[in-house]
Amino acid sequence: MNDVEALANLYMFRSVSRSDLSELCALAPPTTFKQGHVLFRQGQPADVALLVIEGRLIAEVSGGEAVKTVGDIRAGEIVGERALFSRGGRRSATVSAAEGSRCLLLSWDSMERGSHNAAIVSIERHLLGSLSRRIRSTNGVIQQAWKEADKIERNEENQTGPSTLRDRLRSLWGGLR
Amino acid sequence: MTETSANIQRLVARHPFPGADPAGLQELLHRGDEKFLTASTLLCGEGQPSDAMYVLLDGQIEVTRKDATGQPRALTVLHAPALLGHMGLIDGSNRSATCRAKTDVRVIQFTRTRYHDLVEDRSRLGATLRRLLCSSLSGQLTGGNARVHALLSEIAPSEVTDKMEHQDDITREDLRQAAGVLEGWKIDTAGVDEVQVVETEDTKRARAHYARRKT
Repeated sequence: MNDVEALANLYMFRSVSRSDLSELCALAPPTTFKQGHVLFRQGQPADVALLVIEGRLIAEVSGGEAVKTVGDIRAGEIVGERALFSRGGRRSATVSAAEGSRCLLLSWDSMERGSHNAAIVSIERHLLGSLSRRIRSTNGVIQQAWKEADKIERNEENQTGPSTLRDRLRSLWGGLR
Repeated sequence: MTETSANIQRLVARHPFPGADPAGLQELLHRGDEKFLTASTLLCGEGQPSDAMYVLLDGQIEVTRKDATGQPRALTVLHAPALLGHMGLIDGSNRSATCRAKTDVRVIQFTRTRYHDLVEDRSRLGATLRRLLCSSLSGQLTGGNARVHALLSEIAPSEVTDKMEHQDDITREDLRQAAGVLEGWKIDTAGVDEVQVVETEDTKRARAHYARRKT
């Protein structure tokens, strides 16, 4: 399947014409990455975002000796979009190909040149939805933790022991140590 | 330079995006309805349907939300220039907080209908609105995630980790502040992170934890 047809199969491009998708491929050239290839490294300057056409990427954050998996990016998803909305930002995670993958490379320049392209409009609308869902999702977890913390604190008023709210929150998050 | 044009320039600087320019944003704002509110006037109430978004151009707006006991708690005070009320238009949710003018304020209102017309628009105006909002959301998420991780993760920068190691407790106020940021009511420009850390293994475990508790 060629890139335009693969893009046409993605939900975000369901109402975008083949000619607009073809133009998108010219603006943001599709690139193939072999399994294990590191696309971004944590701390490097951020210059492009990736839209996964086929395959799967994985995002990992390292701190000290620990490495945590923080994202699993599949076809139709975008990673690294902060590169499109900030200047001089750096990667906060390392992104690599979990399997052979093909991605569009979206740059600040390609977005600017493609402002009128329906596929770019669809990407922006997709980002609005996905960013707001991620904010709500994170907020939901925090709100729940807040409620739990209230309960814990009330319970602990009648108890003695070394457990602090911080310890309990760490526990609540599944144990970060 | 007028205060309004200065605030438009600040807004563009705070939320950069491809093709951003103050003249384009000014043109976009002309598509909205200018409203003046005196201090203490209610702009929108928690739980109400989201029928508009606003660009705060002058003044301050106090944001409050009810706590578990139903008492309103101050989340933050927004200072011009700021965006507010857009989350509800994007995802169709009701207002998650109450916004009230703390001083006399001037806002540009985009009704739900106008917002949707512009978001669908392929012209420069539509791109300006979409990208401004994406930039704002991306910054909110980045800042919020950085705060959450500073609070809760050992992956936090070493100076924060060191602070946590010597900190007796994370206070409820810390969590309120983090939640307020994540809800999008407070603009945080400190973060430089790019990949948003949301569905981490930790949060997945937390969800599984709640699911088990419910059953």
